[in-house]
Amino acid sequence: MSERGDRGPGAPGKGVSAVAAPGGGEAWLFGIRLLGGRYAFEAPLVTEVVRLGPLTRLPASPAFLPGVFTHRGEVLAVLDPAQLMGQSAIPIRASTRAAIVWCDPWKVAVVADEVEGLIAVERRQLEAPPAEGGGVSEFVSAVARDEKGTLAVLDLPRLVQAARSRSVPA
Amino acid sequence: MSQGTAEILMFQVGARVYAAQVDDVRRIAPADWDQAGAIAATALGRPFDAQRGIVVACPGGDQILAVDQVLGVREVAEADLRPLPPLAAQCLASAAVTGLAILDEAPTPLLDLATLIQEELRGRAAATTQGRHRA
Repeated sequence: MSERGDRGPGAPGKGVSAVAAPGGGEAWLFGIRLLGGRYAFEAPLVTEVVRLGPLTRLPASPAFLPGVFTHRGEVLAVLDPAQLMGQSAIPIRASTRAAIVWCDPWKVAVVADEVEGLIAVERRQLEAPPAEGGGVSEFVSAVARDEKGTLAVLDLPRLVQAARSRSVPA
Repeated sequence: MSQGTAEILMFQVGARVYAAQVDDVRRIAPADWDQAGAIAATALGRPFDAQRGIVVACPGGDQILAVDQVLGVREVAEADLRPLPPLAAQCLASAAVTGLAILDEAPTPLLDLATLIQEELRGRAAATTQGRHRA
């Protein structure tokens, strides 16, 4: 069911900012597709990619939290970043994949339409995100370009923080 | 090493199955139960058919939660009663979901029925107050 690998080289997946690191060399990103757009996280945050099994929908959960599932005996929350960024829901099917990411101190499954896997980008090719506020750009920490086109690097901690702050407290 | 167990009541509302600690349930209403005064719509949604009622001790007296089916009581290892994943715990709009029971490797929401009913009653009271203010 699960697919190990696709793991960033080197460091464990906590608190590492490959994108923000100064200097030359390569930044390792983990690419996904959401509703036709190309996005990425910092690769060290991603621990593995899984095919989502049946999800359990939780009562009173926001739309961007489509459910929970068990993986290797652990219950993980599934986050739909597209809905959090004001886009439509990512359809969840038997073939849908999720990247399991560490977002200090939590492990979260981020659902994706497609997984591209590891992408190496020269750090000097990383550009600042567009200045416009709101929507997707609110969560983009950098923009990268490779042979396939443009890649928006998502600020995962900001996404998770937004999920927490946009929820109605119980 | 002994492994503790807990008894949970399984029930269905709409298309979904939920669990509650058996100790939180006073009794199950008989098949020909009177639905008047029962709590039908909650954070779980509204039952399709409300065939059964679960009697729950709440502050102020017993309340009946209308459900579609009572599926029975299951004994589960305490190790299979899990807390919500932290992100989910922070994002839910109801405090009635206290955790998850892992049954056949699938997580089933574990509910505090008294809290579920109290939240619904508070919501109704707030809606009534708002209605009065608008009138």
